Amino acid sequence: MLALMPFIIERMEFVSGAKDVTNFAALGQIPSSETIEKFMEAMSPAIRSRSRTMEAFMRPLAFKVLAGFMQFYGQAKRVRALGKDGSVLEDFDYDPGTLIPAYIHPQDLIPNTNHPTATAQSRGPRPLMDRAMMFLPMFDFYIAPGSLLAASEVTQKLLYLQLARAGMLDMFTLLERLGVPNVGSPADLPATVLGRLQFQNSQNLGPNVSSAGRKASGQSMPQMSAGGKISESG
Amino acid sequence: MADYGDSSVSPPQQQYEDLVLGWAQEAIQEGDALLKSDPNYTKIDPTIRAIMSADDPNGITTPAPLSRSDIHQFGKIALDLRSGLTDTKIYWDYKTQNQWFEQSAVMATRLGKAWWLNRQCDMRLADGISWCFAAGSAAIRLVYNKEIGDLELQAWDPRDVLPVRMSNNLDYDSGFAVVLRKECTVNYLCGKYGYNPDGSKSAMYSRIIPDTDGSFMGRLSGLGDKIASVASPILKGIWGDMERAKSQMRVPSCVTYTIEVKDDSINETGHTVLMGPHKSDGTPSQNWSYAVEPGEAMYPRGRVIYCTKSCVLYDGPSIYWSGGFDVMKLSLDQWPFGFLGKSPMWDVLPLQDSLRECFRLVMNTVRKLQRPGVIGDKNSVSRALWDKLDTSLAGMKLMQNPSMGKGFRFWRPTL
Repeated sequence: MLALMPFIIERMEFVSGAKDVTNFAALGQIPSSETIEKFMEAMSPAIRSRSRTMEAFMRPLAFKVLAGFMQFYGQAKRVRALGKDGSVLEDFDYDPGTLIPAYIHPQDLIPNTNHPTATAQSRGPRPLMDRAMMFLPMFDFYIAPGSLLAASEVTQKLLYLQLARAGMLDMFTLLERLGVPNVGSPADLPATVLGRLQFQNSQNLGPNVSSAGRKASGQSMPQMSAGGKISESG
Repeated sequence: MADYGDSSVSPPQQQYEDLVLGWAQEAIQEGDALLKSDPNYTKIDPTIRAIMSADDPNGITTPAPLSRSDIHQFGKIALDLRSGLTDTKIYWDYKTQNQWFEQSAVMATRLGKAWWLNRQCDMRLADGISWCFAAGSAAIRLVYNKEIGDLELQAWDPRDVLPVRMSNNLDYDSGFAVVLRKECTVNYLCGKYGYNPDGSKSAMYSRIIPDTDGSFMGRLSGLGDKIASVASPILKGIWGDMERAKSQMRVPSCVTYTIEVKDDSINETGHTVLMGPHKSDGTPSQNWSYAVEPGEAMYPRGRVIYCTKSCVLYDGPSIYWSGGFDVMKLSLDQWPFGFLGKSPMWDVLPLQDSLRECFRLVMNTVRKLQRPGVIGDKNSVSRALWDKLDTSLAGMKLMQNPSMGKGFRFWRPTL
């Protein structure tokens, strides 16, 4: 009888998926030398399915949130939230103070340019809500499958590390992704990765990999030994 | 709540209001019936009770001599699952294929992350996940809250979000309408809808009738206020005291319904119709106000009716640019066999009952070990001794005469 109780509890945890979640969450606790494969294995079908469902749910939510930003976030509110990054060029066009471009309808623009036709200019911008309907579909919400749960973030970090080593990612984006505090942001730092790579090269900034020891493979997280030495090679 | 309070729509005529309320009543019944037809609808309440460790979900009263101890493994598992699935990272990444608007996409991404943190959206998502475990799915609503001046995420009980005329089980958007049911205090509704811009009470004030209170008093309150206002200040004071006394006893409230409808009505009036609030010169006073030319759709982004059982508080276009319904269904285990999906906790519910039975059996056995049963022979045991006999006492001493009968026999179970 006493042995029956642990059996029932074990069945309850197994059937509900609580055991999988607990095991998966444990991997997210600053791992020492877990590989990407181990993470993928630990993500049981049940967790994967639920994670994907949540990710699928995030897409329509993100679309509605974006529409909400365009509708209810004026320039002042955006600048209050993000500082100088809260302004975009559209804030200074013929219909200032909104994220929505003054001229967005294809009939209002000179082909292959972003400039309004003379007819459109003489008529003035279309109603804001109509332009929003044209503008909103230009954006997608991107989320990698199986990436929403925090425990899977280690995989993403390793991926970004690999890209940075290969010279395909700038150090600012890498540090942001790794969650390093007080990175700072130079005044003329571009917003996109390619722009930042150019900026990084122009400033002679970049990773400095030690030539000593075996070449780091990026397959495992850096480890610190008791003596304080950091090893990247696993 | 969503802000549908600043419409310039005048109070509708009685005939029109009766029609709208009649249709709303049908829609509510239809949605309610659809949800209740889900095979797992009746499991929701027992699941909530089990998660909240409410006593004995089967409602069986345990006799006092038996153990009432319980082992609430069910709640622990629900907590573990919820914490595992809500340990999410802030992943907000908008992309655009149009190079001219890349800066806007980057800024929207940053705004999204800031909003997610500032508005504690992870906590609201956790609420939604909780509903998924209790009810199979959750209704997540995104609204603009005028009081905080920001977008707000809300998790609703899916039983209070009624889908109407669904074409599939995937999401509310596949239906013709969705009804959100919420109980509000009458004071709140009167404060928001019962006054004219100049501060005087509007006709709506007396039509907001409580339906969860002593409804006779509720119906009289509006009339009494009118009488008092024209009779005398003394009567008004007395009436005010009565109102206060009533509110101390209970808070009058009524159920409100926010009905979002895909209304494909066309402007057939032959002239331009202004939808939403407009200034006197015809320019829109809100960014969701618009003009409908003859032959165009009246509600391109949907129609919203906000009403109680007794009156329509708002009837007009949706205030959101995004279109569609502002409520979305989150279901962790979606199956095509029912609208609510499946909760992982429903498979565990019978196991929790088995675990409880097992645990109580163990505890009852422990009790019996501590206080074993005893059989006494009335020929060798006196009634006085029998009455004060307590086998749980340490160092218990008993005296019997073996030549007169069998004496005492103790019965101890084994674990």
